[in-house]
Parts: sequence; structure tokens; C-alpha cells
Amino acid sequence: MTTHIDLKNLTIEKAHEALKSGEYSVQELCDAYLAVIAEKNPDINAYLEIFDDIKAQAEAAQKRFADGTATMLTGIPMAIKDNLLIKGKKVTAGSKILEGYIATYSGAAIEKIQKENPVFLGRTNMDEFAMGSSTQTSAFGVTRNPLDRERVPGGSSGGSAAAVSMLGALVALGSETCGSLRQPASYNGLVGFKPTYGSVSRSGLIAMGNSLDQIGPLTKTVGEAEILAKALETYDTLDATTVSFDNRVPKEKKQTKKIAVPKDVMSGEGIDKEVYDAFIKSLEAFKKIGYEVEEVDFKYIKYSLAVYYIVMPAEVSTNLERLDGVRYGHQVKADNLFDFYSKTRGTGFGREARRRILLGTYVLSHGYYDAYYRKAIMLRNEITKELDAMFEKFDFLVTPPAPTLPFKLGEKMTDPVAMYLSDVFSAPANLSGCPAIAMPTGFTNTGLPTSIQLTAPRWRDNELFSIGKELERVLQ
Amino acid sequence: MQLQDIKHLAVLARLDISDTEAEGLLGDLKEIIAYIDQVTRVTVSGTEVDVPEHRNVAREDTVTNPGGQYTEIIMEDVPEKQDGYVKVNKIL
Repeated sequence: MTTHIDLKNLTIEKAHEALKSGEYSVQELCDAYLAVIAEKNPDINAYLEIFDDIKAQAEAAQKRFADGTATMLTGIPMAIKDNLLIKGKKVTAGSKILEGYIATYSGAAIEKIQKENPVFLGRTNMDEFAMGSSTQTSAFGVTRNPLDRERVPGGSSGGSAAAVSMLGALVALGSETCGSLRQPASYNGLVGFKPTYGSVSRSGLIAMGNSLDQIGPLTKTVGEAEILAKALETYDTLDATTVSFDNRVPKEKKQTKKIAVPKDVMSGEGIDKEVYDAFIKSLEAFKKIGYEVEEVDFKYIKYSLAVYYIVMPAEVSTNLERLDGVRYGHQVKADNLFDFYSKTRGTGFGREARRRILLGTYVLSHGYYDAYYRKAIMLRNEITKELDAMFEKFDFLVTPPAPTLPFKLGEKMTDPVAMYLSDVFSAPANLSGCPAIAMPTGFTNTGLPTSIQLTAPRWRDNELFSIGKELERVLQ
Repeated sequence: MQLQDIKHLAVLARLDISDTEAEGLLGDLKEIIAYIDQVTRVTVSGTEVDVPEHRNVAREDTVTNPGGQYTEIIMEDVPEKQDGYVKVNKIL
């Protein structure tokens, strides 16, 4: 017998209550999601693998309900991005070069979540090494947007976002280096949250750009994002960039009840008309909850994307050095070590990864380091200072999460700069370490989701949740 | 940037790429560099980077786990091995 569960309106809180009262069991809840996955995943390709131990995970969770030790995430079916290590499970970061690799340990954030006995349903597709904004650079095929299968789900956490929006998982974990949670959230009508840099351990997260990467949730509601964000918070000696809990103190400031919108966004230049119109309309929601909207002219923030496309490839070229075919993953034999490395890496990495490795090698090389990398680091510093100064007068920075609606599959694949421009509104939060949230505002006439993005000062993640919940009420 | 620069970068990065791909990558990188080049035209007042809030964290240099504790599980992932060693091409 199958229990009917209203997956469309299900939240962590509701599922928790239902599991607690025995309305349905953890296994029945998982079965409901597995039925959707069986029906939709062959076409959508949100999941690369469904784990073979779901039954055991569900039983362990059920036990926690039986003995009264269940917590909020116990028995919650989750999708996990394919760059988060879970001990004993395959993990590829969407790349052929890690094909066959089995994680030898679990990351600290995953381990912490696992203590609550959720159910990890499977690992989700992503752009190779999280390099992309459309989940089209995966070595394991594209993921389709469940809301319009001819369109991309965004990226790089596109598989995680699609898993939730096709109702194939209650919530999902992903990561972002530059908008890879927020942009796919916006393309799927979901909430995507990037925590303050340093609040979640990156151990066990396959690195793309260490100084930018953070793990975060993809959910249907702001409240659920908050629950998961709190559960992910970790201070970890294996990640020296995590900040101890005592030091997670925001800079003092008075609430101003004002939000800042960059002048460049207000002008609408480089933004799709439908995105722009929806954005302007959603600013009304801020007024309804008592915020003033002001246009702000920034000097340095407009350089964020260019800075990002120097800092990130530099870190990528360094990080991906370790993938040499010697200790794990894909390997191509050759007569000498040089050819062994080159052939392994040349065939193991996809085109986008190769492109970024070369770009990173270039900006770090002698003669270009000062012009590009050093300058980018200095500008990153200025961008952070500019945001900090703005936050003295404003509570939040507000923009659309991305300049376009979900685009068609295949689009932008031959034009890297056009693709990179998808990240234009994401970069400031990652460069400055500020927390940011993307949340749905409704749909266009053609049925595509629209969204808004809020950025807060570092360590004011909670304020994004409280205003997010207020906005949810007036946007409904 | 020229084709030979792409080939040189590919050698540095240990990436075996075909001539056709090198040509494609040259076009891509030229376009990307034209975009990021805007940073070279901005003047920045500060000359050095402020010290960020993150600090180097070093633990005591002590033994944290018994020898061999992770050997087996790590070796399971190694594609080419012999007698408990990772096997690679001759270096010298």
C-alpha cells in the first residue's frame, strides 16, 4: 500500500511532525520520493546515483523516532551534490577524472548532519568540478530543468536543485563558489543559501576555489534553509578557514530599514526584460514590510565578475594539480611520467576544466601575475571594503540572482563570456565572504520562475532568514 | 596571446591537448582575457591587501593517529599498486 504524501507542499517541519506522529514511516516517505525519481530521473538526470543503503538509513532513522531521540533532520530525504564526500560512496565532482573513486572519509559538515540520521537518497549531477552555470559541463550528461525540460536547471548545483524541484528529494545540499546554489535555486523556484564564508567546514568538499567555496542548502522555503544552515555550521580543525564560534560576531551596526540596489541593476542594462520587470515588482514587497529602497552607485563592485574570473581560475589551476591519476581515479598509462600526467589529465578533464586550468596557469604565470592576479586580489579587497561601508547605511544589498531566466539547453555553450555573465550578481558575496540568499518571487507569464537575492553583512546570516520569512508572507 | 602560448601553458599544466583544441582554446582564452583585462585599467588607492580575518592555523606537530590506520582504505583507491606501494613510471 502506498501512502499518499503531498510532496509538493511538504517541508522539513511538516515531515518531522508527520514522522513523529506516525502518519507515515521514514521508509514510506523515502518510497514516495523514490517513485518520483524512478519516473522522472531517466529524463531529467538530476541524480547520478541512487544509494543502495536507503533502507538501512531509513531503519536507523525510524529507530530514532521509536526511542524518542529523533531531531529535526531525522528521516529527512536529501539529495547530495556529487562533490561532497560520504565515506564509502562514489564521488566524481561530475568529472571523468574521478570516475571510480570511492570517498575514504566523510566531510565534517556531512558527518555532523549524519548524526541526526537523515536519509541521503543519492548524489546529484553538477557541472564538472562545479565549473559552470548550467550543469551542462558534467561528464555524465546534462540535467534538465523540471519546470521546462528544454531549459537548463542552472548550475553548478543543478542536479541538487532539479532533485528538489522535480519532487525527488525534500531538500538538497550543494555548494557554491560563485552563485552555484543561488542561481540554480532561482532557476527552479527554490531557496538557495550561501552562508558566511568560514561558517561551514570545507573538509570533504572537493575544492574549486578555496577562498570562495561554501556548502549550503537548496530548499522550498526559507525556514528549511535556516534549519539546514544551522545544521551545517561547523568549526573544524581540518578546515583552517572555519571561524571558531566565539569569533562569529558581526560588526556592530544599527538597523536602518533600508535596502540598497546597485545603480547598474536599476538601469536594467544587461538584464533580461522579464527578469528586470519581476525584480522591480518584487521591490514592492520590501516596501510592504517597511523597508526603504535606495539606489546606490558603487565604484568597484562592477568589477566583481572580472576579479572572480581571475581569482577562481588561479585557485582552480592550483587545486586540480592533485588530480594526476597516481593515487585515485582515471589513469592513462604512458612510457614516461610526463606523458602519464598529461594524457591522464588531458583525457580526464572536460573542456571547461581544461579552459580554466589554462587560464589560471596564465594569470599566475611570470609576467602576468602582477597585472592580473595581484590586481584582482587588491580589487577584491576594495570590493569587500565598499560592501562593508555600504552596510553601515543599509541592511541588505538586493539584486536579481541572475541576469537571465533559465536558458535553453545548448545555449551559451560556445560563448564562455556569455556563460560567465550568469554569475555577475553572485560574485560580490563570494568575493567578500558575505552571506546571501536567493528566494522565489513568482512566475513569468510563460511559467518560468522569478527570484530575488539578498546579501547581508558577514555573520548576519540570521537576518537573511528573518527578512526572507517576512518576504515569503507578502509575496504569497 | 598566440597558439604557442597555449601550448606552453598546456605543458606547464600537464594537459595533453590536440592542435585543433589548442586553436579553439586560443579563441576562448583571448575572449576571456579581453573581458578580465578591465581590472588592469582600474586604479586602486591601496597598494597592499589588508590582513583578512582568517589566520593561519597550525596544530602541534604531534602524532595524531597510529601508523597504517588509513593505509588500507586509501590504497583501495590506487589504480596501480604493488606490494603495498603506489606504482608510477620511473622518474630517473
